[in-house]
Amino acid sequence: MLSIRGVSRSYGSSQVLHDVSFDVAAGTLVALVGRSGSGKTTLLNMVGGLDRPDAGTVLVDGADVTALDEAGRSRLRRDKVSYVFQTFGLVPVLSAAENVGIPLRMRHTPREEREKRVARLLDLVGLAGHARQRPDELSGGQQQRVAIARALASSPRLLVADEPTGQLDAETGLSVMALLRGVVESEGVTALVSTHDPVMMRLADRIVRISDGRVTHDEETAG
Amino acid sequence: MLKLLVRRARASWPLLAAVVAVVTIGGTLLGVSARLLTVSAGTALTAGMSRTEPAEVETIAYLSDIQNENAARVIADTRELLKDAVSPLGTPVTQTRASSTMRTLEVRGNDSAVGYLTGMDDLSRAVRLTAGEWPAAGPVNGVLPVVVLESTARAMRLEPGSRVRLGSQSSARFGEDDGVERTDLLVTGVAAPRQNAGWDRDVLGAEGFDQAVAVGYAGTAPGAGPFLVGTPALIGTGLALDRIQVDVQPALDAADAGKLDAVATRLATADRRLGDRLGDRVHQQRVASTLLGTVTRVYTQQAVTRSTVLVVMLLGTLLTASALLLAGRLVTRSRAAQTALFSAMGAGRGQQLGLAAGEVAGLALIATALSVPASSFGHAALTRLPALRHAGLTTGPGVSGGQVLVILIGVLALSAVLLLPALRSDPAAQDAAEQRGGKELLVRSGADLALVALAAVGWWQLQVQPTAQSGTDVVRILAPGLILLAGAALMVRLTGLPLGLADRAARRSRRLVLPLAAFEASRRPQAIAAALLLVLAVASGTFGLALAATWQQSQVDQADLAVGTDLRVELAGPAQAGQAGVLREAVGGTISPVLEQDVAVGQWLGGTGNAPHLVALNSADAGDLLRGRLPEGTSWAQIGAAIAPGQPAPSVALNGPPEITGSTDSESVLQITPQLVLQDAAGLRSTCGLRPIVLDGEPHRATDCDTLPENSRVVAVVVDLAPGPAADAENLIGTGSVKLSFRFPRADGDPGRWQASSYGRQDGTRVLSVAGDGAREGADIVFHLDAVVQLSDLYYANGQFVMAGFVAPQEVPVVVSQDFADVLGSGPGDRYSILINTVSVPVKVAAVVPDVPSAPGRSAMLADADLLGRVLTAQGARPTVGNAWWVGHPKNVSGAGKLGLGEVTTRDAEHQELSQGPLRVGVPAALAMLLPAVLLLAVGGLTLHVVSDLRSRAGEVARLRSLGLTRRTVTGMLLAQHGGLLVLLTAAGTALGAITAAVVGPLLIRSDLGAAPVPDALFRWPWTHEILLLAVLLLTGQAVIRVVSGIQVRAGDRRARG
Repeated sequence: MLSIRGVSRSYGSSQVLHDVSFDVAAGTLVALVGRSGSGKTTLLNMVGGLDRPDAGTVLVDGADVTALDEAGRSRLRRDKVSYVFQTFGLVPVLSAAENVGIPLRMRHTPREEREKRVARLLDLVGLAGHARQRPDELSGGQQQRVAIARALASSPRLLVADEPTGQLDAETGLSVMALLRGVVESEGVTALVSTHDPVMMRLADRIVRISDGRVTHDEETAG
Repeated sequence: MLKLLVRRARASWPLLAAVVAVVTIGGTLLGVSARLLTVSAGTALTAGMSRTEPAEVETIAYLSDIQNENAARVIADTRELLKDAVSPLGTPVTQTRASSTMRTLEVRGNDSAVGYLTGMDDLSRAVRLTAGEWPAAGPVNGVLPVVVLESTARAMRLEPGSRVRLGSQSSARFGEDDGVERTDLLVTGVAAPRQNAGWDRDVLGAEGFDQAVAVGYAGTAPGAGPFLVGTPALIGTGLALDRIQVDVQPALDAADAGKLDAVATRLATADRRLGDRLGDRVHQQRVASTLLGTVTRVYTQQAVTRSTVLVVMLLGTLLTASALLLAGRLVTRSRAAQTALFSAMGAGRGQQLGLAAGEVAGLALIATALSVPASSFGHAALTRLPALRHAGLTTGPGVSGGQVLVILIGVLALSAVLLLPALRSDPAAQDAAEQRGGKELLVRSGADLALVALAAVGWWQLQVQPTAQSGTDVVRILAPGLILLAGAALMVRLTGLPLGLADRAARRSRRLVLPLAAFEASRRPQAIAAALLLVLAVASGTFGLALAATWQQSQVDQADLAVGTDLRVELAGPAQAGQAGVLREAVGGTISPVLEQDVAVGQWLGGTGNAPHLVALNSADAGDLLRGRLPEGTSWAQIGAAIAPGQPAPSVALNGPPEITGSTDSESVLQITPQLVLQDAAGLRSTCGLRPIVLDGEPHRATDCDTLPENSRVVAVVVDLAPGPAADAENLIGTGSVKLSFRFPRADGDPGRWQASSYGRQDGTRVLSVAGDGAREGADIVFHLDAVVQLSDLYYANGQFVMAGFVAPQEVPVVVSQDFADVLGSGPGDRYSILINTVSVPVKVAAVVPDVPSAPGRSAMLADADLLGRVLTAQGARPTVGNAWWVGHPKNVSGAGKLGLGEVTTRDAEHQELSQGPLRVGVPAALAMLLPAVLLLAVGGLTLHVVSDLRSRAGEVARLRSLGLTRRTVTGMLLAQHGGLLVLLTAAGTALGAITAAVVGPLLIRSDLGAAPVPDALFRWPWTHEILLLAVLLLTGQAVIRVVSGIQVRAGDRRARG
């Protein structure tokens, strides 16, 4: 599903990624772990086409992200890769349902169909009763659930989550991680999740550890 | 603390720089306004006073019945007192005009007339020599050289070289006789009276001749004069003086308020002091000054202009305050985290406010330092605009204490607005509350309602306030600002409606970009301050433009009505035949003689300063001649048609001297004195008197009218029948028949309608019967008149006949002004009698118009000169109708002034003076000043808002890009959101400005007298300027949004990468 080959990236004199390579199989949840500044976010940006590597390639579902132009990368994010952010990234003036509906509006999905899918996704993330509430009326965990629902709205092949539990307490974070685990299984998506929480790591199918821009450890977990 | 302030300022310098810029704009506006109100007002006063007409500033002492031996001393004393009264303004110019008592006048052995001498200091200032030369200073061989007016020369048949003799006083005044029995005069020159040379104070009003001057207690005699000499020459004759007028013209080159006030104080007591000084050397004395009224009018004009400048100041201050309110919110919001940190560190609210106050004080000082020179240069630049330059108001940059004080106070007050958001505990939370309702919304609603209530009171006060008001009008200053502010608050609230609709539509849409823009526009709370600023700015700009256009149009309307036509020449005396031809050659266009004079309507003489006024002209040319606004669907041509005669008066051409034959069966010698009533090509009626002709049965060729202009036509012959010079009274008994014939050689025209009548107080006794007709005899036209008269009555009074081709109308149709109709409660069909030169003329109201041209706001009537002339002629009165010439559609306006016929006034010049005169030009200048302030503050405020909004949404933009929106799509969404709001708020502001200008604008406009303008000001919408304003605002706004959005989206991309 995802193939990263020899990716390097530097900003000025600072080399952030050094020849990073690994693959992610479809339908798995891979935890990308490492300390702050280790290059996790940069690598995730390469995967979604938000940034370009200086060297190497990133293949998503067979498509070379690094070869895509601006429109192609936008299309990639719209159709195949969805993001979930540490800061949730919800539009504050929109309700939970409207936030979830954004990817569907991008595809000009008819209103009735959009509303049905939004309702199903909110139900999936356990927020069926919070559809009309705006982000500032929801708790952090609820906001992140809305963000996950929004990420799933476009039926992506790959879900990229950057520290999705970073701003949540342990209990909420665990529930969000469990939700991610659940949607990977129920929706059949592939997930690449960056985290440094050992508890979260246990829910992943595989852990790729990155340190100083290099993959230092890559192992499948037991569970 | 200072270190903290500096560091904090450094950290947010772009925002603070914007704040300083906004405060500086406000401070500059205040500074320029302050200089307009002080420096320019002073310059305007001086320039305005220096442009006044002599008649507007003269002070005249009227003295009557002065013995000759006292005259020189009386004149000197009066001059000294008057000069002293106006001396604060500088050295004045004085002019003396003195006239002798009326004396018998002997011309060519005939002493039946009376005349008088007039002495002047400088004859050339009062008359223009048209023939001969100026007289010597004193008698030459016992004969006093004099100059006579053209009208005197024509009436008395005088020319240079003619000799006349003044005899004894025709009636001794107050029992005193000067004892001078004979004063021989030699006419050296013939002259025309100059305009504005005091001829209205002449005994005969510069008419030069009057058929019936009061002599003694009951009698009348033909009067001629004045015979003009220098003042010393007059006094040297020893003649008693009937009147002396000493005229002082103050020096107005450097008039200022202090000097004018000092003069006003002295003039207030001048009359009493002159009486004390002259004692019983004069019978009566009076000091009258137009200067005081003019000064009052000038002060009123200044107050009117000041009001408009203050309106602009207020609007500018409101705009600046709105911009600063926005800036304050943005500053506070950008420092929310910092504020929270300080609070967490234990800083009290007072300490935080102190910090903010210190910062504000610093910003205010910087803004003041920038505003002082900026306003000085701004004011200097403003006074270099063409209109102000032409008005003589150009001044260099300078600094005054008042200007600095106004700026300092204004800037400090404005800067204090920055503190308002800082007083709120949590701006972000309150923004949210504002958006959803709750206490904050209620507070805002209360403020909105209070503003609307105040605005309503302001509008009501404007409606009911007196029409005339001097001094600065507080209501007129505050009302526009209040109404615009209240309207802006209301409009901002109302914009929620279309935004709500857009929100609803967006929810139903399947698309993203426009719906998301609509969501953002309708749900973002912090746009309220920016929206208020934008709506207020656009409304103020629109209001300013529309008010300026309405004001300009009102000046045009006022000028149209005040002048009444395109070009007018006001004559010092009656219009003369031939002037029309000269005028036509010089200026072209449609020309009509016009009679303008106050009349009595029945017993009604009108109120003070509003005597019933008559304007008579060629009504057939009314469409070409008359100017002034009429109700829609009405034209001056239609109005003219309503009062026009059905047919022109029949006339015959004067192609040679007429031959007059008269006979009588009386044993006594009778003679006639015929007058030809002539009409020139322009329709001017005049008379040409012929020498007396004895009724001896012999034909007499009357050559007296040979020198008349070409194309003169005879419309009537007026005949006075009297006993001959050698008539024996004893033979004047019984009745006698008189047969007259008038032969006009080679004349064209239709004589068939001519007939004879008698006029005057005949009572059927003096003239027992009269009949006449006309017939063509070969190439000539001959009129015959047969009458039977009571001969004995001729000893006491003349028999009087008129031969004419028309019958005098029973009533002269007139169009009256609305004021006339209101005062007398009259309407079409009502009949009145007006008194013109002692002749009663019946008139009938044909229509009512808002105002009669040249008589704005007055009780006035418009009549046809021909019909009026027919009535006057039929009653034997002087038929001359015209003391002015009016010209419609002139082709060469400048040509009229060079002719020296009289005072030339043009509609364009009047409009120029009204709109760009030194005392008026401040109004458009102030309104022009408002525009750049509006644009700068609106665009500045928009930039601040967009930058702040997009900064606060940088994360959101980044996330939208992560969701797959292209850079172009995100930019499009931001453009749609801010651009849509810009368009919506601009439309709201435009509507508000237009409505305010339409409702309030006309009420704000005042005439140069401080009263409501006549005609009423009508709202005028300046399409071109408004479109330009909106185009500049929208294009600049869109450019700002596009640039800022682009920058922000690129920043979002960087942020998205982490």
